[in-house]
Amino acid sequence: MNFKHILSVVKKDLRVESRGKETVNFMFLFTFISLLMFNFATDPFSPVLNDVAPGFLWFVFIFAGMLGLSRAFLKEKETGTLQGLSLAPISNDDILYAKIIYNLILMLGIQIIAFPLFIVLFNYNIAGSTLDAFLVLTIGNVGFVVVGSFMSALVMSARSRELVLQIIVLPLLLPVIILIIISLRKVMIDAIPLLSIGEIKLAASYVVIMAVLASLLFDYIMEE
Amino acid sequence: MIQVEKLSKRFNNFTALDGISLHIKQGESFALLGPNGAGKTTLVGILSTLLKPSSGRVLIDSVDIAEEPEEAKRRIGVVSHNPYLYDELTAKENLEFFAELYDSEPDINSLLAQVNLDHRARDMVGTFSRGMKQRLSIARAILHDPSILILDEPTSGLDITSRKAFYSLIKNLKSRGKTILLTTHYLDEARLLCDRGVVLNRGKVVRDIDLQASEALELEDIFEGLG
Repeated sequence: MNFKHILSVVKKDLRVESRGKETVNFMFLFTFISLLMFNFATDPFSPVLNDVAPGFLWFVFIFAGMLGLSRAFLKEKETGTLQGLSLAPISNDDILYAKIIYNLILMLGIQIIAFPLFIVLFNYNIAGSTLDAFLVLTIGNVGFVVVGSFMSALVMSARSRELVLQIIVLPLLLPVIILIIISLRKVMIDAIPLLSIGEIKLAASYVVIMAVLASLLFDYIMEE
Repeated sequence: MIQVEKLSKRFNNFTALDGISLHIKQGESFALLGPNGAGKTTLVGILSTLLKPSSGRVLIDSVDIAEEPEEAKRRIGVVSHNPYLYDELTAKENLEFFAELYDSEPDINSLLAQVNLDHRARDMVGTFSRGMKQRLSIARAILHDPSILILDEPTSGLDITSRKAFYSLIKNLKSRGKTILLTTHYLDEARLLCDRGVVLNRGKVVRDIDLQASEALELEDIFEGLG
């Protein structure tokens, strides 16, 4: 692992995104509109909101994240610059790690804005620690980005790849999605501290296993 | 120096390369010729480490590309019909980015001057013409001072003026002792830039050619004969 190379690719991706803002604008817009729609669709004083809120929040992140993920490798593939990267003496693993970090930065950007927006829009009272709820979402986003970045690379040569990505990512993410929703409910509704939640450890383990698998298989994906 | 030994590449049931052997000496300019589907792009893909061979061996300056791909990559520069540049970055930012990946610290301004783009250093590559992108692509390919330059149909889609500017840059690199491997559909281009070459057809070398000898004049006939 060469941290300098990883950092160079991350910096380059952020610079490219900052010039075009194609991905990040769509992600923010989707997040904002989804939260607004949910806000109008629910009664903020209804006790039902408490039950469904963690699911809402996580749903918004996943689908906003999908917009970003589908661009991470696909854009480089379409423009041919991924081949240019492969010609340089950078390992395939380092390219994957750089894409994961880049996607994670985008997701955390969304999270930093969407999480307080959610609390304000829904006038939501988190029973447990707000920081714990934020950390649960962060762990979920890490899992989402690890699995999603790898899958984005896997489908980059497929036809209708942006559709295929969503079809194969969601089943693979299902364990993380369920575990994070349970963990969020425990923090936001039952006020259980993060470190006492078994599901979050399971989710973290799943992410580690997927990261190792992605690293082992990525060389095969990068060979055309 | 490029040494190719009994190289084969199969894609499922299709054999793209069938036991090819080549030896290209240091400083030599070598052309790979042949009709579409002959195996030129597959061979270049393997030489530039983008593809793995099914069997056989390739040595780049005595470095086995299968055993030390990253070391081999440091010894080659690739210019393709795709410039491999980021439209959203400036010419200078593109070169700085690739220099970081090669752990190299070239004089970017001098590189841009070599390809006559120093006046556009701070402009986005997306605003460049195709000819300018190809010239910048040469700067990208040589920024780590490789001994071998692989040119994969580099002038396809370029107008005649851009093509002439491109030839002039390649001739300059040739005079500096770089080994050049060119794949092209243009026979006049091969004659202009290369000393020697081979004709590939259906994954095999079917003929060695001295491009500077009168034999080169019969290339069109060889191509037509291949069908």
